[in-house]
Amino acid sequence: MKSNIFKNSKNVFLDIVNTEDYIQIDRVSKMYHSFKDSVNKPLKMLLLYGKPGTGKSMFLTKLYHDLLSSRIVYLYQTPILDDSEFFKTLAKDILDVKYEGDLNFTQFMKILDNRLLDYVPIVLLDEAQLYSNFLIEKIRLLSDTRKIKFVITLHKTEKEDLIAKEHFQTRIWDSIELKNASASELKVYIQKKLMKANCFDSANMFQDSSVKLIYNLTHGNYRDTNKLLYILFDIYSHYHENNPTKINTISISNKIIEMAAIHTGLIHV
Amino acid sequence: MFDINELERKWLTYKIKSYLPHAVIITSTIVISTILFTTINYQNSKNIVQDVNRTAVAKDENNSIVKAEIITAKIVDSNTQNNLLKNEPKKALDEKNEPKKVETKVVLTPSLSFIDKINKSTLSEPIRIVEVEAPAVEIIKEKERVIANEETIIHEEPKGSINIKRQSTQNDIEQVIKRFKKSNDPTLSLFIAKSYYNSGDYNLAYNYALTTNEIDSNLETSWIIFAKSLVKLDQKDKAVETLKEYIKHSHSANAKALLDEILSGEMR
Repeated sequence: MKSNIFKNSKNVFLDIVNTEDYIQIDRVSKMYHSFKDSVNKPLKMLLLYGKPGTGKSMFLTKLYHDLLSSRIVYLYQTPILDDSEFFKTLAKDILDVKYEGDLNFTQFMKILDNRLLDYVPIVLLDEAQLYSNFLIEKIRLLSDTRKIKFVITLHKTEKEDLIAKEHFQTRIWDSIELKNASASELKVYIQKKLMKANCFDSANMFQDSSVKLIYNLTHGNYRDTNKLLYILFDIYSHYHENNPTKINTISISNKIIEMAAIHTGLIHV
Repeated sequence: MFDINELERKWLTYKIKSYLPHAVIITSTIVISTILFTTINYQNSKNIVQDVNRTAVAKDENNSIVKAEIITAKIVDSNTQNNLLKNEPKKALDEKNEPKKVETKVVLTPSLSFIDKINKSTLSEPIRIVEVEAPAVEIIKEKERVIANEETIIHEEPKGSINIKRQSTQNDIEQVIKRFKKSNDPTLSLFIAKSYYNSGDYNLAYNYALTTNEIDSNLETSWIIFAKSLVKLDQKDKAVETLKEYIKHSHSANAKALLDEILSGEMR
């Protein structure tokens, strides 16, 4: 096995949102298609929630790219925390109005009312838990007009559940909760991800036992798994170049998994 | 980037920490098991020593004292520590038939003191020396050795008559009398009668011969002692009459011989 295979494998697990690298396991794939169908229904608002690292951003990005060909859709991955900036961005993107000075909710509604749109634009808001309660309330009112459809993602915490209940309970018509992968799903995820990057040798190194150990360390969280495997292949690459006798290329070593977990903070020494 | 050596060191620390509780548990288990094992072994060996040292003293119906020495014993169950054997065979068998967890055999043999006792006393009743072995298989082997009823030393007198000298003591007779009072055993009373007769106490010999006869009229010796005592008490006629009466229904050769002796005057 050449050393660049480990390096390539390492790069597969860089924690970046790239729909080209998006691996959907069967369960999530079904949820995705169900959610995508809901977008086409006359619903005011859709909610996507789950713990950090469960793939919400990737899910939303994938949805954006899939809808782009058929719908007018806007994705805001980084929250726009200022009210005026938020409405000015919407006015510019949706209504093609470049507003000078501050633009408040009332002014934006007037502009929206004056425009006769023959379509309902879809606005995808990632990390919506970062928006203020006032802005969230305004988004709620905006969705009530049915002139703009919002799809938002939230981290699922106690506080965020409260936000969801208070602001969106009556408006959200569909919601999906994303969860961590199971051990078997995690194996599929890792191997598919590696094979997609043509790293077949390293994909074959993942036996059930090593995946189980990874699952025990990450609890199936995709972000933690990506971080762990990135460091894992970094260590493999280091050994391969400096001390190749210390590694075997048949199966992933539990020792190196644990070393990677120590480095990433999943194991505290 | 990472320092691989530092990472390996941290990993080693982590592994030691993760195995430490298991190691502590395993070590503790081994230590506790060893202590328990040693304690149990010690207790068992202590029991065995106690059992080996135990002197089993058993009294049979004749109140013969048997001092048993355990030659080899390895007893597992402490319930078996009381292997005191009654010399009555049936009783001993009953006891031994009860299931007992004894792994090795217990052999009881007569002690020297027992032999001494036998030598000193002239017991009328046979003394049985019981040898019991292999309780684990619950087989009792009993050997009965009958010691002569009368430990006698026979000396031939120049005249051709037989003189019987007994080695019993007054204490022996008293002991036997006590035992007889408790057990009412005719063999004991017969023994007393003979003892008294030999020591010249013909009245007492007469009484005990009569008592024996009342308990068991089939004992030939009781008739003979009775008749002899009568002769010695100058009641020759009554002795003859008694012997004739006895010979009628028993046809005893000894009784006939005695009768002839009395009638011929040899027995005085």
